[in-house]
Amino acid sequence: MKITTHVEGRRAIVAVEGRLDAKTAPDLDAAIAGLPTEVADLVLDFSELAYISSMGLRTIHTAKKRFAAAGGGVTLRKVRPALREILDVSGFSPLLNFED
Amino acid sequence: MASHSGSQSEAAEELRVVAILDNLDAVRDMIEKRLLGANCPEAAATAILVIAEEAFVNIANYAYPGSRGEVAVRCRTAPGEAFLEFRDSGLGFDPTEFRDTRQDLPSGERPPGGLGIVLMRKIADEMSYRRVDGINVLTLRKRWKASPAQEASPP
Repeated sequence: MKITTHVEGRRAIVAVEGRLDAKTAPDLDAAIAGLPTEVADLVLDFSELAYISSMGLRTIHTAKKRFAAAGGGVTLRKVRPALREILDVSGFSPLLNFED
Repeated sequence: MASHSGSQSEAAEELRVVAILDNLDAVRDMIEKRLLGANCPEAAATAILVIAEEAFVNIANYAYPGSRGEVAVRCRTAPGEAFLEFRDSGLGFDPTEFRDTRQDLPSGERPPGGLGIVLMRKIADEMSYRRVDGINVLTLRKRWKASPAQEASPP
């Protein structure tokens, strides 16, 4: 998995490439935890994400709690249809923002 | 996805590994290869790999506390469906009996533990567990609709 982070003021864009699974999710947890405290909105760019499992969903859930508490939110960008199905089945989709 | 002439027949692959997280990739690669050989569409393949990961990670994390043990993973495909079987000799655990008592909470307040089992149940068309002579046998079945048009990669 490859993680690329851009911070623009109160907004961070984190692009995740590859597989977000039980082995790699802790790396994304660490990358998000390391964002500056002034960041209130997180965009997770999933355009190059090929796979997500429950550990990846946990990461999103944890991020959602942090940024909601900061008065912001989490947006998932360019989620592939196969991964969107996993998010939908998990029941997480209504809690998240999606953009193309 | 390439077309494989053997996709209409049954085929199976099996792998026996030490049940540790480091072996997740080997398990996934084996299953992915079998699904590719069966012309499984991308969305179904992703769903099958997710339930395989949840089952494997559960065994890796909980079956052998304080010791090492093995798990045998088998993936069998038939036209339009896949069967996954996990066999381990660790602690007995029946994921089909696991109750998520937090379903009563609003979804935003629900802690994420147990999510893997919830996903397995929701994604798999069938899920069964039995313990035979000290061996845990977990079987999952997932069907898909053959539709070559849906196999195209998203832009």
